[in-house]
Amino acid sequence: MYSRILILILAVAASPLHPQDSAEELVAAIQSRMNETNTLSADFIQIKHLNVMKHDLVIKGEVALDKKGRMAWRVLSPVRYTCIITGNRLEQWDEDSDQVITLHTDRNPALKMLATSMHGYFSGNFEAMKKEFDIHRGENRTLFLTPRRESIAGQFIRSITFVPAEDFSHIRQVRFVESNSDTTEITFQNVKLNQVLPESKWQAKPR
Amino acid sequence: MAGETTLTKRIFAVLVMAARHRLFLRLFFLVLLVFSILLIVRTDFTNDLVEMLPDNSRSALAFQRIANSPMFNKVVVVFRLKHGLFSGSGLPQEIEKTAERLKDNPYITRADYRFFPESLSGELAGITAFLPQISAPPDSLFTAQNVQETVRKISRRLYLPSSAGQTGFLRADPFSLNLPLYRKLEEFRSISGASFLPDYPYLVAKDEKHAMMLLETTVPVSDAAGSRKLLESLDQVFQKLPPEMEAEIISGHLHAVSNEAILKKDIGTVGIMSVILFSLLFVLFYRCDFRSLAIPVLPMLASLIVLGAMTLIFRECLFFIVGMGGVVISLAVDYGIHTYAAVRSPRSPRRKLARLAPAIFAGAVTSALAFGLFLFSKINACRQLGFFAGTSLLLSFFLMLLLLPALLGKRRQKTKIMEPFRFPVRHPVICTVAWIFVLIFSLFILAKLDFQMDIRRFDATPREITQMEKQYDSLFQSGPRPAMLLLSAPARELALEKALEASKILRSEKIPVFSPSDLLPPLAEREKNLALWHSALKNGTLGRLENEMRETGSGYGMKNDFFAPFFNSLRLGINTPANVPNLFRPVVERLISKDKDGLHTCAILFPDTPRNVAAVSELFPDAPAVSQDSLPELMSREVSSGILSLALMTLLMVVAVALLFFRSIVKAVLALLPVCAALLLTGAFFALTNIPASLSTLIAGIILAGLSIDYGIFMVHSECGRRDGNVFHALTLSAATSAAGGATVIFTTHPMLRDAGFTLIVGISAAWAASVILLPALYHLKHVGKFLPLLLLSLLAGCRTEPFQYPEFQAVPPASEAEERINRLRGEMPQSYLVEAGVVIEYYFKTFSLLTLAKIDLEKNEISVAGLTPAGAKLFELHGKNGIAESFWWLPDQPWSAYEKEASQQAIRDLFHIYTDLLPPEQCPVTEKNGKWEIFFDEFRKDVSTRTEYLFAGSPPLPVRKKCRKPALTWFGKRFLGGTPLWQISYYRYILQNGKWYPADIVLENERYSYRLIIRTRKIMETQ
Repeated sequence: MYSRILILILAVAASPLHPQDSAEELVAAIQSRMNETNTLSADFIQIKHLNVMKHDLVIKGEVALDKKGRMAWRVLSPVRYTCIITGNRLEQWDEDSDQVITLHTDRNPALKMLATSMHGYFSGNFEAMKKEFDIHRGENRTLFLTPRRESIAGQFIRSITFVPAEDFSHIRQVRFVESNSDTTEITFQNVKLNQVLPESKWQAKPR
Repeated sequence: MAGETTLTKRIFAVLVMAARHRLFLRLFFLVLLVFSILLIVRTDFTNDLVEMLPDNSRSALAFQRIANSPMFNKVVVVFRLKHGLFSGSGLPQEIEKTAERLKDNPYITRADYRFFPESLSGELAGITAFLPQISAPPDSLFTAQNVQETVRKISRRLYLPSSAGQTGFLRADPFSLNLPLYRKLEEFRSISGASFLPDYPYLVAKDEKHAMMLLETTVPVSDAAGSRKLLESLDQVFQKLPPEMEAEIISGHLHAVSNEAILKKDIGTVGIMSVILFSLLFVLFYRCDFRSLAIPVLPMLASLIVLGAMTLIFRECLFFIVGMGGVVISLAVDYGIHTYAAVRSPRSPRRKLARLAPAIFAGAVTSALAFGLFLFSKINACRQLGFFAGTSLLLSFFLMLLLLPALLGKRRQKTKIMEPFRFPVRHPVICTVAWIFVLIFSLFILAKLDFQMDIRRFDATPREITQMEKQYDSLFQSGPRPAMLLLSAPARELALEKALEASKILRSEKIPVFSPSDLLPPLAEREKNLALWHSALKNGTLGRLENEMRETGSGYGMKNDFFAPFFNSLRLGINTPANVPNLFRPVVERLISKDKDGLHTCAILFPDTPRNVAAVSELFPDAPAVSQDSLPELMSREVSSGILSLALMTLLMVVAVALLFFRSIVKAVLALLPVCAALLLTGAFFALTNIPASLSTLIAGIILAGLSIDYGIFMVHSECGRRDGNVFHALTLSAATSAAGGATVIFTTHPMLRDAGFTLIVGISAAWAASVILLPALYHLKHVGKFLPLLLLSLLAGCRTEPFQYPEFQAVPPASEAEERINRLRGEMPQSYLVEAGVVIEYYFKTFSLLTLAKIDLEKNEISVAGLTPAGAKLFELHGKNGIAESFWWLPDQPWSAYEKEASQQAIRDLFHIYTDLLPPEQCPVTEKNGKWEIFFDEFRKDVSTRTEYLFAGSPPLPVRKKCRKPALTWFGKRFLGGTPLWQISYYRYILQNGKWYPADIVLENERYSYRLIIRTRKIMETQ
């Protein structure tokens, strides 16, 4: 679920600079621009407010996506962690164990759904997202997503808000509100589109 | 024949007494009839398939358990959206409303329509509360190191992207103690093959247009009346759905209701047809002598009396038997026809009847005995048919003898008697030769006869229902349905204990299983676990763990109550043992049931493969293994063997009766000719019309044999005495009425009744023709004995021949050189090649020709094959690895469509037998015999142990025969020779191409399923 949303966020970041009047038109515009995007990379800062924690968690890292359906999510601080999705493989590495764990999505329906939907979004297919969320236009040209009643996402997520940059060149921030009122804010910086990404980006264990 | 005079006198005395006391007799039988009708009316007749199965057979035990267990009393409701997709439609709300409405339905005990709980947090707490019963606290749980590591891991996980929405899971189960339970659920999903879209909490199909609801009901699927009420009540609920959606029911109850409806309709058809056909026949034959209508009425009366008695004797009476009533009446009217002929004689009719009675009685006894043999059958349906038909025939005979003469009264106008055919008497040679040609032709045509012994043909469920079931499978099943091992015990906990033990055994045999004991261990196990947790709570260990977790978590910024959900739920579960969590309950409750017979049954699921089913059946011989494919196969096999043995007994009895009656081999053989003609011509008819012979055909064939011998006996008896046109007349009318009896069922919908009808019409016509044409012709031939060997020779013609011949082999070198020679040969055997071949498949009397192209890769142990008709149309394409069919395609909508999987598996298995392991493994013992090497190789496996025998011949020595048998095992596993032959492959010719030996002319004989493959290799292409 989270990764789907993340993909959508990053895809939104690649959207053209056109003010839109409705959520559908905004989504359509994003979708049309996504088709032109071959690679994408960005830095992120993630701030998590959990009710059961005394203070907020601040996580920094970088993310990369390409049209082949690959995705790299790399956390650099406060812990080091990498998640790479390639086709039907999901690799994870973390500093503590220093082990790369490989999971096959074809043996795990949940992972398969994640990988499939990721590819779907990246190729400009919003149908999967619309299936689970109602997409509204929020204030200041934001997209506000609420899970549909019949969707399983409603068990975890109360809402998702996408805040685009002033010039619509990328998504500046996204905010999740979980069903237990915990919140997560992810801010993207240094978004780069259609640049050649080195192969090392897709390796779980850093060299 | 010797005692005929005394018997005639006694019968005459009985006839005179019956005439004197006719009023008393009529009153007696009337009372009996009324009493019988009362009994029939108060009885619920059944169409339960279990009655068709041999007693105490594995299939009967399995079916009995299925019938007794409410586990199988389920109804699947498939909701369908006419427009749009599930998301955004009103279907979720309608499903909820329907579930609410079903709460008031008296037949429904539960409805499941979600796989994800409504309240996740509540569910997590419930699972943790249940944990103390599921597993003991691990020793490592309370260590300081575990506390440190767990808290650190949780804090790390909170940094990961996947932690969104996961905090609740981490708090409810920080030590991942519930993980094994979730894995078990995943095992259940994997083994059950159930497939739902994970995006919704509801049971939604991948097409997002269908959603499912699973209902549990109190109504057994075998209860047709209850099923009808249940379905009506459900229809009322589903009528409230909005017009843009509809609900369809998939359930065994639909089969029960439709089968009952069809059979009731068929019985009505039989009744109406009987009245019309018999009335017409008698009125026409007896020239408006309306009193002759008493002839069919009396057997009907006898049938009703016997049916009434059956309701007292048999626990459950079958509709199928009632459906055969018309056939039984048609057999019994024969006695009336003969009685009529005697009674209408101008001089001393009673004396004439007394003289004729022994022959009629012999006929009745023969037929009754034929049916009497059914009483020794292990199949209840056969016993019921035997009792019903045998007793009805005997009672009909007595009714005809005692009541009919008085009912017919006297008629002034003499009935005109049909003149017998003169042609056979005048031209006996022409008739005999023509008949021999007809019989030989029929024998050859039999090669086309197809057998379909599948008991599923008894299920007359309409095609639309079975199509709906297939559609349901394609929507909600990602793979084949699992097989089930049913373990029963007097108490629920005992059944759970059995399930736990069985699952351990099966897992040790590497069979993947899901057992309800995985999610709900037996009470003893649960109490043991609970006691350990209780002790940890009481001695403060748990409290200390909570404090340590709190303190350590605080160091990572976690609030004091971070781990409270886990410890609170755990403490609650220790103090008050929790019920099975909602997430597991539908799975657990559906696999444990309290049966009608008071036993409790647990079902263990395992993948439905022939190997698994065989292994499970061997490990648990007393517990039924329910498999979608194997169970019907087993049922068909067991029923077929039961009926075949009956058929054999009937034939023997028919021969014995003929011999005893005539005490002359020649006359007995002549009397048996109508039987042979009836059976041969019926087989030829089915072969020509492409109707497969079924179980029902076999049963009708048995009746046919019993009936045809009557014609033979009457005709030969008549030709022995003075010639009498009455016999021809009576036999013709008898045949016409018997054929009319068959005709009463050919208008029915049930395929089994219809098949029986065709068998009787064709068979009786053939028996009649043989009796009135062949027998008089043969009787008027001099030296008839000389013709019998010719006839028998003709009948035996057509035995199968060998398609190839072995060349003259040179003697092989001494056995001491065998190992070295065979090892050399290993390097000369091909590894990867394409074979183009013509294949002939022979199955019983049927032959198919195919062109095949096979790709054989022995390095990867893979074989792919495509089969084409001689005209070039593709019939199938198969791919197998390691002897197992991995993928297959067959030309759709063909007779084999229902058996594609089995046929693919068998074909791949055969190809592997033919093309792989051409040489025995190293170090097998070799013996030299008759200039050939004999080598055998034993393979011991859990599922089946086999002995493969190789025969090497020629120079260089090449394998010319490979034979596999299943050796018989003693109790201690000590082997001895013999056992069951499985298959044999003969290699008649090899092609030497580029230094490699390719097998060319090959014959595979499958002993187990009695078929033969003849392979003529046309072309070999190396692929390396």
